[in-house]
Amino acid sequence: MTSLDRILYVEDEPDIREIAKLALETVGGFTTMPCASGQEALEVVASFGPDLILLDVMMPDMDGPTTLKLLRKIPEIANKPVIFMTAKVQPQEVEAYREMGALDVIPKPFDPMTLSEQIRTIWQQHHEQ
Amino acid sequence: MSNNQNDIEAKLQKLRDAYASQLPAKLDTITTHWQSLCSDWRWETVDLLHHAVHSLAGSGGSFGFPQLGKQAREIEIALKGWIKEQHIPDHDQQQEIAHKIAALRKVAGNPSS
Repeated sequence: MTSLDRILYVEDEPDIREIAKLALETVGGFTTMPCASGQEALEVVASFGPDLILLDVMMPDMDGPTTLKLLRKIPEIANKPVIFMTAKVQPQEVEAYREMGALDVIPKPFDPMTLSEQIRTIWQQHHEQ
Repeated sequence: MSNNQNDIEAKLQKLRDAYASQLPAKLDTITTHWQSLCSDWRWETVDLLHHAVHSLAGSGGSFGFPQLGKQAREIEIALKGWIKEQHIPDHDQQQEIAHKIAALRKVAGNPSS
């Protein structure tokens, strides 16, 4: 199985970005690249070289689904696994995000102590398929 | 508890404290938007209010304020419906939101409730 180490995380809210960084780096042991917008993610994604992209759905200017579409146009990133994070987790919305190419959806608010474990579980399920 | 766990807890608590210290200003913003809407209903102000409560709804639980998050989510759902239908709430609906905003303030002073 491909190892999971580098996570690009896109979230417009500074406080959520901070606690997710703690959850992913200190609790989970991942190397992260936090980005404040979809635009910032597009600028740094190729040089960072993530194993996984974690995308907030509702962001001003460029939302998560739009960011995903643009990320997919970057050749090195075209097939990188993506997980959405959102408060809107109606079953039909989760299905719509999966159809866009997301592995899964993590509901917000998340528990900082278990976020990394949730991500590892989704990653393993994806690689077992 | 190991040193590593102590370190994580300490860092988490620092972030929770910073979040708690920012809550009064965030709640003031929500109240200001709501008061503005009660005297002059403008959809751009509804969008600002929606964004402010969405932010609390998505973050409260992560920072030890689960009730705040739930209360904010209820306001967000009402606003989202009104935005979708372009519906201006009647007096009773406005009263309900005013009560929910007042309740936000109560739970903001009571983390982990």
